[in-house]
Amino acid sequence: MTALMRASDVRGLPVVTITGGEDVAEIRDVVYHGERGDVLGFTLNKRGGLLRGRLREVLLAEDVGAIGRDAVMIEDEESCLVAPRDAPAAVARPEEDRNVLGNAVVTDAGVRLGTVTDLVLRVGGHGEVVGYEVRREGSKDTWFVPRPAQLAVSGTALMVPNDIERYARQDLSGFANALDDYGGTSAR
Amino acid sequence: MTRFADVTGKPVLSRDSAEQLGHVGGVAIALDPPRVTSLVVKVGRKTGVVSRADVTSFGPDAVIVGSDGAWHEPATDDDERAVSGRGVPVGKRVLTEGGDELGAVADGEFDPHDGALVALFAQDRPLDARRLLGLGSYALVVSSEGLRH
Repeated sequence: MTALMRASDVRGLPVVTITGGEDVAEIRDVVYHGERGDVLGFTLNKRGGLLRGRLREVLLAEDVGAIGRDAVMIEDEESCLVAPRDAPAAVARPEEDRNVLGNAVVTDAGVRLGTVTDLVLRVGGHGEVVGYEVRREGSKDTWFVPRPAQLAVSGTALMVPNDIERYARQDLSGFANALDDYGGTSAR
Repeated sequence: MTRFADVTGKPVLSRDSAEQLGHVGGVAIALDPPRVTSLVVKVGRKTGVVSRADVTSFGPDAVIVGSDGAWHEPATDDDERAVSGRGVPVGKRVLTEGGDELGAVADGEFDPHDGALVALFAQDRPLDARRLLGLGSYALVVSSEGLRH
């Protein structure tokens, strides 16, 4: 069973050390590769009280033990939280204009399906963006659509195959099954 | 075997003087190897520890220690972990190494003779002591493979 989470549900999760049981940070934002879909890392906030605010260090995807429903697990603070100068620029200084939230989703047949309101992550490993939550045009309903393997991203719009609507679902559990079907189809 | 719940709240008495030193406020553990290290004991306004090795008996009505000197203020890292609560599992949220919460630690079980920790309990779910990975101020982290169903 594919475990899926919205990126917005990952934001705010505590980052907890497996060996120490300490909450050393919390997720500020998810940084991912727009074309490949893999999660590159996370920007972080400090934990708790008056000290809340952005943490300079970032967390690289390769240092994540697991992303769970209730916490992002890392081995220990010293080896997993990385100073910006030691992190890839894409994670240390993510490009604001590459944020896909608010982008229009347009099929290659020229139909505007809606607007991206969230990302869907496959969790359990390092994390991978496998789909988008899209608010339909002229509706308050949201749908989940797969992230195509071949995707054009302009910074204002995502270009998706025309047949992607067949795999759109309104709930994450149904979407997990649709992803399996979509993966089989797109692999051929 | 002795449960943490059977110890917590019990008076601590000195065998030499028969004086009551305080009450057990918590049971502190370490994980490598899994064992009870000390009891957190409050005396007046001061919170200190009694090392598990100084306990001569975990009785049904009291914990007996050898002498009045068994109670001491924190002197080691394990003592500090006990008094700060970082080393006390009861009440802590339980997280799997996969990042899923299983509730909170309600109790534990240990061998009163050598202090070896047998298991902790999250609600009624036993967590084998050999599968405990980390304990801190935020959570007890357990291996997902160690969950008995």
